[in-house]
Amino acid sequence: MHISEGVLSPPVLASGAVLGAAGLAWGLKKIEMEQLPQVALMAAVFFLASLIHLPVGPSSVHLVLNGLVGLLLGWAAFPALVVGLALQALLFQYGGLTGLGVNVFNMALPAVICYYLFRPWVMRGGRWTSATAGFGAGFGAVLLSAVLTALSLALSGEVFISAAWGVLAANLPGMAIEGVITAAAVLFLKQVKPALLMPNRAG
Amino acid sequence: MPVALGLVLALALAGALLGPAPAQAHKVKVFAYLEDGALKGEGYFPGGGKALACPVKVLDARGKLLVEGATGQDGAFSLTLPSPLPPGAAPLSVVMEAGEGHRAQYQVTARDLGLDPSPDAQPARAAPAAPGPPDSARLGLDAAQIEQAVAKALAAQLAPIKAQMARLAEKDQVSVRDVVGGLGWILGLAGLLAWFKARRS
Repeated sequence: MHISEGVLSPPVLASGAVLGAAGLAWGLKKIEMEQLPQVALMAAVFFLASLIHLPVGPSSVHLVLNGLVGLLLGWAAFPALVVGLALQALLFQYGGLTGLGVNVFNMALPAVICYYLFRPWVMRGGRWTSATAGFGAGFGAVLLSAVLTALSLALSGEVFISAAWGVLAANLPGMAIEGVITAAAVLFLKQVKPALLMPNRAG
Repeated sequence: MPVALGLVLALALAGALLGPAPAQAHKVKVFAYLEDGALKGEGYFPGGGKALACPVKVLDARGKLLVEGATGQDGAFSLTLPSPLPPGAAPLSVVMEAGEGHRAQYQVTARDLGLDPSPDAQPARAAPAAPGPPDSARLGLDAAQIEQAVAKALAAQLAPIKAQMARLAEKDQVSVRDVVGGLGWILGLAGLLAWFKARRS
């Protein structure tokens, strides 16, 4: 999902940079002072999540957690992921810096979409509704990111259908696991710190 | 927010402990070394899995394609380089694509290829055979044959060592230092942003 250096064509990189920058600017504008610790926390969570590999059958799955980030931050997911992805690129060499805009857009836009789709359910629902909505956000965010990744590769020359199937198939177990983890996190937060899930102005 | 801090610390610990596990990591890597005129190497995901059936290309210093192939079911590849290499070809680039937008690159320097580092040098060649001392002549061996046999035995012994060294040179493990550094940056940037926002209001 982190697209490496030298894979995407220059027009795709340029458009990604523009879209990523636009999202970043909008997200920065939307952050309120009280929300800042939350944004930093989610950036840290996203940054660390990619280090965690969970064994799944013969291989294993790495976490992305953009669904959880989106649920809690809304548009502020853009700044959080810009920082998280830039640090991952610089320190761990996950993805590259020229593709930062594209990678940010591919992971942050699904986060924002899941914010709009699932947060109302998480806020107002009971335990089961929140858990299901959390699962939906975790699963959906990775699914949409996989589709956008395939689209980025297709626009750079790969055949869309085969690229799409490849990316989706590789990430399917990951989507399910992310759904479960996001659901668990949502339940945990609702119980322990419901203020994080109260209405905010990031939407 | 003690709960939240606890969560982040738990994640950091989990990442540091679970990190090096067999995995399809967020990046793919490749390394290569020379053995017997062939460029051999392996594509892999740091932390475990091999890169199976991935296309591999070898480019010269000017970007021209010299030879291409693919990794096998064990992630390894072996490509025959054109011999002799055109002058100025080194350093070579080995590029491997692993699908899903993953791409890895490894540079094979002139020294790795046994070439003189100056751009127009020719590959090192074995010294022409000189007549051996009388004893070896009696055994029917001459210096050149002994040299060849030794070179071949050495190459076989050195190949796995070269592979290990090439692999070690690529730093694969995520260190605690990197994690701490990253978290520090996040805190710092958040602080800067808070300062900006406070000034604004």
